[in-house]
Amino acid sequence: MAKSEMQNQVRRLRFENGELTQQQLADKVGVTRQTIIAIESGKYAPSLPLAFKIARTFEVPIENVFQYEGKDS
Amino acid sequence: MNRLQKIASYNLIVIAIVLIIVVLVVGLIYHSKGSQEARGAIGLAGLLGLVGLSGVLFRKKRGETDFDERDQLILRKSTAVAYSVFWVAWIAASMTIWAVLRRRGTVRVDILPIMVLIGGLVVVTVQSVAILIQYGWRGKDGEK
Repeated sequence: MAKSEMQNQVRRLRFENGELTQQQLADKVGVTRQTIIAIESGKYAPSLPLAFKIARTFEVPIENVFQYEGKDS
Repeated sequence: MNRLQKIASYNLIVIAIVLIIVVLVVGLIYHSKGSQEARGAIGLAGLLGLVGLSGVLFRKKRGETDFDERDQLILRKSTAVAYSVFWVAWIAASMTIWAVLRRRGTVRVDILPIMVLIGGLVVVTVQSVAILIQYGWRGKDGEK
């Protein structure tokens, strides 16, 4: 899959939240570990519901987890 | 390697093994007994039905998430690619038969089943390759 224009802080937030493992985060949001790996490495841009689930898991606003780096228009 | 990758790999392995067996057996019979008997050996391609066992061999594990939105997207894209390739190949095969055999006015009875068999083979092969490419050939998708 192509690299997305999204940046994310998932890896950092995992470590700031009690060193949550990729598998633990995957179980909490209901996806596979592979998907968490793909999101962290920027290979996959998650759907909005999944992005919200991840943000809620870390108890932060969604924009603290995902940032859009593409052109505005 | 997740369930979808295992199924794709299994399908490709089965297809490769069956094709090798069919080519070897047909080749041997052709050289020893001639083309009429060799044609019957193409029936060995029925072993491709083993592809259908993938769903039983790689069952979903209880209570484990093994298929999510990303897998769904990969499967959908792979299926779209597979049917696009199939459609082009199917039209090309149909028009080739028409162009080559129309003057005879008849088409041999085994042409259509072979076309359907090859069509199915194209769909499963292209879909499986597309799945493996999208996950990354390494299988673990960069897992650390």
